[in-house]
Amino acid sequence: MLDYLAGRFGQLLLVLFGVSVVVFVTMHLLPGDVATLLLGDRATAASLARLRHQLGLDQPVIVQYWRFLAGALSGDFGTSLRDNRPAFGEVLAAFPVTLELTLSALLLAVTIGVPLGVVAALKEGTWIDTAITTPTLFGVSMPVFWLGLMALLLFSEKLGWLPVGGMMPIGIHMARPTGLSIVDAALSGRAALVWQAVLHLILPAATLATIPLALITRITRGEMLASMHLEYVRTARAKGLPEGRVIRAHILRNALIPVLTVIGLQLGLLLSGAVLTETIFSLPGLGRLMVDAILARDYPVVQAGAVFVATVFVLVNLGVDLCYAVLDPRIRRQ
Amino acid sequence: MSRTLTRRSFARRSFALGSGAVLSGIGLAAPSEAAQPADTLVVGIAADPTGFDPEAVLNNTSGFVMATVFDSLMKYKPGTTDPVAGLAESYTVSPDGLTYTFRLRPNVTFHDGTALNARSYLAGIDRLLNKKSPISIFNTGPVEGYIDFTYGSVASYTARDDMTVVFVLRAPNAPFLTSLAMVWNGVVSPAAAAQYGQDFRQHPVGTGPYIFREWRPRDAILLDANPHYWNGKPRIGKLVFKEYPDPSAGLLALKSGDMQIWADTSTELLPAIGADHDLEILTQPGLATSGVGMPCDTPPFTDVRVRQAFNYAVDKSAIDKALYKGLAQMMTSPLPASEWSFDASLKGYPYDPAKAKSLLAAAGVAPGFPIEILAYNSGRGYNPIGPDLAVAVQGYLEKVGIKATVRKIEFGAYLTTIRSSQYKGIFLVGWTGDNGDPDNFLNALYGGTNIPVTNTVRYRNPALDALFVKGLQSNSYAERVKIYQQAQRIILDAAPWIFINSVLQARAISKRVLGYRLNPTQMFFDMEKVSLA
Repeated sequence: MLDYLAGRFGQLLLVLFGVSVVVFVTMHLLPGDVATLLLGDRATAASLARLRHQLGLDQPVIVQYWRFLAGALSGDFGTSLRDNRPAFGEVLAAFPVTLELTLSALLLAVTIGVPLGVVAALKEGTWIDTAITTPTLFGVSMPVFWLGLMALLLFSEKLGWLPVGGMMPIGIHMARPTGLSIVDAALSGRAALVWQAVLHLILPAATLATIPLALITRITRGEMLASMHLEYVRTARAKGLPEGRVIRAHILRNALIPVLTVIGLQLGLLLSGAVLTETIFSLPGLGRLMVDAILARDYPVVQAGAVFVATVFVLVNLGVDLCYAVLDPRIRRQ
Repeated sequence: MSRTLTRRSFARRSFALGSGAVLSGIGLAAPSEAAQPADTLVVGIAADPTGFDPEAVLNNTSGFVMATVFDSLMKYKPGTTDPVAGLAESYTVSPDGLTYTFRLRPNVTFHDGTALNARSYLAGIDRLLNKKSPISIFNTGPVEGYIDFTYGSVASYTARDDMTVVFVLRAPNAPFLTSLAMVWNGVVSPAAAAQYGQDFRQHPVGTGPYIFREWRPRDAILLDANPHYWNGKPRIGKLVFKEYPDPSAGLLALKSGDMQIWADTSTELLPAIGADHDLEILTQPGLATSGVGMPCDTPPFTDVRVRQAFNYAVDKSAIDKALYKGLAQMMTSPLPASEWSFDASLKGYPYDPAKAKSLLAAAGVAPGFPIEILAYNSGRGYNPIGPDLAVAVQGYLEKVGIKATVRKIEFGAYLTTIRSSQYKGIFLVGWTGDNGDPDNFLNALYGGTNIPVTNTVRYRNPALDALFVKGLQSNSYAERVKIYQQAQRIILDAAPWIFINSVLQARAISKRVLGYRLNPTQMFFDMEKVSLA
């Protein structure tokens, strides 16, 4: 196991190096530079040169990369070119928002998707199966921005049940030691704020959950159906095991391995790709930070964010691999 | 302060309370503290600020916030760009236009308790102009501000007594007073600048009507009323600048009452806003101009008849109506109507394709003449429709026999190209005023000394340059009006641009907002006078 973990760690370092090179090169290949974007129409050659010097952009690209690499190895990703804050600090501040949103969405997707998939498989070919699989097709096909706006129109504008966006009612002051709004609200000891944090999370989490929920439902159904007719299941039934136990211990458990793969991939994707949901619901998460930074050619923030996301992605998938071993003794033995 | 309970907010509160009651059964309660405080005004913004040190940042959203935290020595008369006394109680200008003496307003303190006096004010100026100052702004990170623009002509700055400061200029610079009124020249607390050092741009301390409390990046900026504000205690207790990056979500926030003023109102959504009886759209001529530049040193644009023909060829009013949804005014002068010396008697170039054709023929431009229109590839403040303007102009030029093609490129590359004397095509061009002085439009865009940086059309006219020098030297408002009106006529006749339009500033507000006025600079000045019904 230790060898396996060491191998994966080595893989992580390679991935991070590759990501840093690709991001650095692509950001510098993009037309335009941050100094021009900051100074706009009134930029003179002198003011551009001065600002580029202040930002360190007048150095050769290789020198800039070396500085970035040396800094990154000591945990210093430089300061944002836009607002002069530590780049990695910005990433760390934005991450909890995305993490909370992603985990909530995935929680919804798994707790609803897996049972729905199981029921659809058990009721294959019936109206119940159709009633479950048809909306999941809808869920996979719906653009997130459209769905989010429709949800806002219905639940916020028409019904007035849920807030329009943000993480808390406007003007509320609360310490944010973790950045996770529900946790911070609980730590503040103000019960109403916990409820408000939950209310603010419902629509974005539900919107973000749509695609993974549909995927998880369909994959669970498909894997269940594939497992149901295998010989070991017939053997289990022949041994006289109760049907509930056959489904839980023999069919579902085996069906869950591919489902787990999808969950792992979705978690990684959502952590780095919740930008549309964050934009529609005005959430200050990692996706928006990255898009803003790319548009502003804010290299240090883009680099810090890319390295961070790549690390999270690799670690999540490592976690998924370890979960396989828990579910399947054969993998554990290997 | 009372607040009307609408059906929507009633439903929301009922849901919150009902759910709270359910939760109270499992140990949670829903106290009233979760509701948005009644004396809170929320201003919706589309993008994140980049900091709040007035001379270090140039971001418009930062300016919105800084206008409420800082005061400048001069200020703009509400709704205009006319400079009047701000933190200076009074001022005098010497007859030679070289010495400016400001008497500071007494009993004003910064939000950190530091008193405003000649010493603290000049420490702030020293921070900008003396790189050896222990609190030099250049030690805090990149500086993008208006230091050279405002103080470039300053020879010395001294205290005459505790409350009087004197600036001596090297050469007369009439816009100096107007420049001092800019939000980018907000007066900062030197004590706070020393205390926070590099982090001052995240902890702004001024003398303004609102005190900075918290900046949550990509979310909101929270401010509290300054109870000791010299111009009267603000009528709203809390001011919040809240970010809504998605315009549709911004509209919903405005309609649901979560937002009361939408700073970055999306023009696409104006019809939906106009249909809501609880909302109002405020408009005002903006401090901006937009057009198509023609290289005046390159044939055939060396011939004024060609430049005039291009102006007659384009139907600006139709473009304004169709592409700008009526939120732009045809330019009848090189100055926008919001400028104080704007000459309303000028009529610009009406749409007259027949006249355009005859002028082109007289100038020897044969039908089918090819030309490229270079366009930046995204919207800008002075031209929200971006490259679509170039496409519209292309269509009109086609009608008078000019075979135009449009090329769109990234803004930085666009800027480099049009400033190069090698570029022979025509190009989108525009300007947003900095301080509200006519010199900042006319001299910047058409003055010989500003080729090729801001005078990208490379228009040279010594007589006009002489007028600009006179305009900078004169301290007489009436004389300056005459000078810049004469300049407008010269430039209009010379037609170095196809003068397209000046976009209107448009902001949607809730009808509950009272006392709010737009300012041509778009900044949130005089917010202490704003209240909620």
